[in-house]
Amino acid sequence: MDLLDNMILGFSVAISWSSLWACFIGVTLGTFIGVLPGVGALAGISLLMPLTFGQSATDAIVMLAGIYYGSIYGGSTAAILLNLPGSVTSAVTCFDGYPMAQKGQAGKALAMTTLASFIGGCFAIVLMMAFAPPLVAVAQSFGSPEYFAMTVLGLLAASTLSQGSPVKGIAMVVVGLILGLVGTDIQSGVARFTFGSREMLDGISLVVLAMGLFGVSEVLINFTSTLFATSRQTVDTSWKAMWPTGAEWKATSGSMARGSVLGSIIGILPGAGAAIAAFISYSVEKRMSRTPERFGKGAIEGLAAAETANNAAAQAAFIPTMSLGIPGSATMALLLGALLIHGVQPGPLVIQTDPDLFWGLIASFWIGNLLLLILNLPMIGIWVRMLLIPYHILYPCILFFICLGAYSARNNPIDIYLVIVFGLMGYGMKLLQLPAAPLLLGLVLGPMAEEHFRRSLLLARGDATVFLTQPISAGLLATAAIIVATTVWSSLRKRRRALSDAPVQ
Amino acid sequence: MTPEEERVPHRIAGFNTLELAAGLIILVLGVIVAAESLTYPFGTLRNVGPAIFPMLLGIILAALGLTIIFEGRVSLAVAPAVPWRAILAICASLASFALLIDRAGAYVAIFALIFLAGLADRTFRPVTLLIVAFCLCAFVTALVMGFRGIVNIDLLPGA
Amino acid sequence: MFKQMTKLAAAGALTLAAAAAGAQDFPSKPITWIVPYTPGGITDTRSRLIADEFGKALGQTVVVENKPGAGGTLGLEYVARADPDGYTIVYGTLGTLAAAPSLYADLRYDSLEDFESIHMMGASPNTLIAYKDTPYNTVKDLVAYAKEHPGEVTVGLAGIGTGTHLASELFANDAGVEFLQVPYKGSAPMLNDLIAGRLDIAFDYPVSTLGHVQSGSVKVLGVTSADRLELFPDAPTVAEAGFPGAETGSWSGIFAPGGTPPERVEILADAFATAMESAAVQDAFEKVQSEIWMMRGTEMDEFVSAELDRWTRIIEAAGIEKQ
Repeated sequence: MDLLDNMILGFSVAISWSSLWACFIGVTLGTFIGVLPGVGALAGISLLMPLTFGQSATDAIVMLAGIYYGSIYGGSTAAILLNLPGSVTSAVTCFDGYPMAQKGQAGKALAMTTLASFIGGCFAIVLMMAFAPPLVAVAQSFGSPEYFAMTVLGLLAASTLSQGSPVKGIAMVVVGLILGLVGTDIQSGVARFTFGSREMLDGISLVVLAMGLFGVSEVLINFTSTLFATSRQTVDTSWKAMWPTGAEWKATSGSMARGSVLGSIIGILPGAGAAIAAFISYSVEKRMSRTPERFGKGAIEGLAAAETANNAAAQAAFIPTMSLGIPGSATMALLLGALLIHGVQPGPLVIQTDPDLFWGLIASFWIGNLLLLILNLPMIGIWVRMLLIPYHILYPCILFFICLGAYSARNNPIDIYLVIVFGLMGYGMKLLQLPAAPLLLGLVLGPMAEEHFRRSLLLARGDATVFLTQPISAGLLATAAIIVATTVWSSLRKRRRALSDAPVQ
Repeated sequence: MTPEEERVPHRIAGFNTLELAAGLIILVLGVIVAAESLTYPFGTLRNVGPAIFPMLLGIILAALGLTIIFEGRVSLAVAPAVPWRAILAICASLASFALLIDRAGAYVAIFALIFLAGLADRTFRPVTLLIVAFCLCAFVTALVMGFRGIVNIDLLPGA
Repeated sequence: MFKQMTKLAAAGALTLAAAAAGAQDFPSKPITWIVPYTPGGITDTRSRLIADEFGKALGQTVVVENKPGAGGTLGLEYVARADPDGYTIVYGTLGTLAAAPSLYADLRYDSLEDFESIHMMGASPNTLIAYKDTPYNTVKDLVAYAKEHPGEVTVGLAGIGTGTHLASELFANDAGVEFLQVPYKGSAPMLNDLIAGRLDIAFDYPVSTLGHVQSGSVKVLGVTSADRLELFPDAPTVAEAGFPGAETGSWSGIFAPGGTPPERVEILADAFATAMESAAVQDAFEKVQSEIWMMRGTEMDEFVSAELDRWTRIIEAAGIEKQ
């Protein structure tokens, strides 16, 4: 069938009143769930799923999907305003979004994320429409060696995330990797670093870590600065201040393009999620920037790259789910389940057996993303005004949301205790000038790296050359090696030049 | 601004104390991790065991810790003043929430959270805190009613 | 005189009130149903659907509360310690009740002592699937091949201690073959590798297998149910293939803390049975190809006990160490 015919079919399905309504409810709810720190799309979708049993399959999936990508839009709000990631995917948004807010550019940051999210989402949709089959083939060709190579590349990128000493940055990545080891080892069943606690068997939750490391520590830090005594700086809420300037558009257009591509590629791979996409895109952006020292202090390109990537990845995650029947994440698995309950079999045949549903869903993505843009932009004014609330009223509320988020994960108070521990740790790290961002990336990529490394060797019966004989894996590792070589080379040159330039003592 | 720029970095035996502390913590952490990993099976090349990664990482971390200590000799890093009272208040506040949420329900936990957190502030503002606590209770009630099922928080004591 | 009448009336009213309060008025407030898995997934969704019907039959809301962790055992530990007043129940499964005691060293509950069986939900048998280009097409072929090449055939596990892992141990044990086990975090990455041919075989559930079979990416070698499945009429049962000991299905049911009064258990069981017979639930189970088991009372107790014995033996024989 012709692409145009498919789109016409899709839109004819999606523009029906019931589907439009489903889409609207889905994205609105999703945004709200995304804004609330700690309460995730997973919970929202699972609650609403039984309510969709009466709907048609298309309406049901349109609504549930709307909740999913809607929550990715909303997640960045708390990240920017309060340094509290609404969900795992927004953790990277904190890095530059929050500093921007502190400089009085909260409105601009929020506007940028909304726009970047829209662009990222649309790019992935186009990809899904036009290139689903070959993309699926690529996703299929990624086995454990390839995933391992990808995480190596990602970890290398992590070393560029730190502001100051690279040694400290790498040390933090390693700490993050170690924290990722906590829990039951999937390959052997051995419990590592749990020290007898059964609650730790599932490992350290990223949301809990981020809440403590970023959220609580930020509150603690604010007590040392004089931010408290004086009123918060006035925030310009005029429309002009909220819109990116022409120069900013130019600067971010490249970031957004790169973010879309990277995000889509990573999003297609089952097991690599929107959070990883955001991280890698951010790191790449920092590497490519001529002024990398601005990153982490409010660089709008970093924000744009991260947000484009995570929305692109979220949208692209539908590709393996629908075309292969293989969900890329827990939330996707849930959506898959919803489809199955409605009698739809996702898989290579779904385009033939349920073209209405497939193309209708894609059309609803367009509509949903547009709705989100329309919904979120006006809200920015409201969110920004929130920053005008005096801090002595704000910080108890922040603590409340942290508790709510941490507790809601498992209905277990131990997660709140963990938040306290991570909060103290985060504060300590700030005192000792140890950067937090690389730690987070280590935590995200570490388990993946180890899992795939060991499984590669398991499947290859102990043959360690498997990483080099597989073309994609070899290519990625070669890229990593090149990056290491060039970094070492350039730092050696810098040192030599510094030595030769130094005045004779 | 606190006169941080005027503060002279503290030194012990020629090592910048702050960097020394950072490096030492990391060094010790690395050693502990490597030591603990010895209790897990190492496996074979065919079936890499759970001890390999932690061992490697522990060793690397210890090495990095040493590097930080030595690299930091020329550092000018200074520690800012630590607000002990605020830290204590906030930890107590969060801990009280954790203790009370299952036993006494959300309303009690929220009040404990807000009021203990309020102790961190230099001026104790009971009226403000009261209003904030009430608003949050209203919010959480709306949340639990509206999202019955996903947000499972008992509002009242006696779970 | 007036005073006396008032006193009598008051006494009478009080007596009536006391009698009314004393009457068994269970349930008089909402019931909490602990589902020890994260929100999402077939388990949780199905529970919410059933909870809806269950509540209607009971005349009180049944609220599903998720308490995930440690493969479901954290939720069961919570309920084992809960008040046995009939207002807390838990979703118990093969994994958490029959297998967990042998898998975890410091499990904080006793599967038989700490729980009262209320009613079964059902079971989902496993499908034994293989990559489409493997040299074997039936269970018998597979066993023959595996015997000739011990430790070579790779079998994917969706996680240690999960239903599919246990099914594969059982099968390997019964058929006397040695597979190379490849654990995964969940069934999705496992299926990904299977379809791409990086993995040879795996155990899975009918509902998720169907799509892949229809598209030709995998082939079904057999099923672990007692009878052939409608979905895969050409796939023999493991019993037919000569391995009746490999028969299994991931069963689940609802349980109450040990010591819950029997009358209350009865009331809950009756209401649950009604819920399971409702059209909505029957439909939902059918759509995901799960069987409904209307087992309760002593029959259920004996079943759980038997399963506990069976799996303790198997896990020991497989040499899986306790965590």
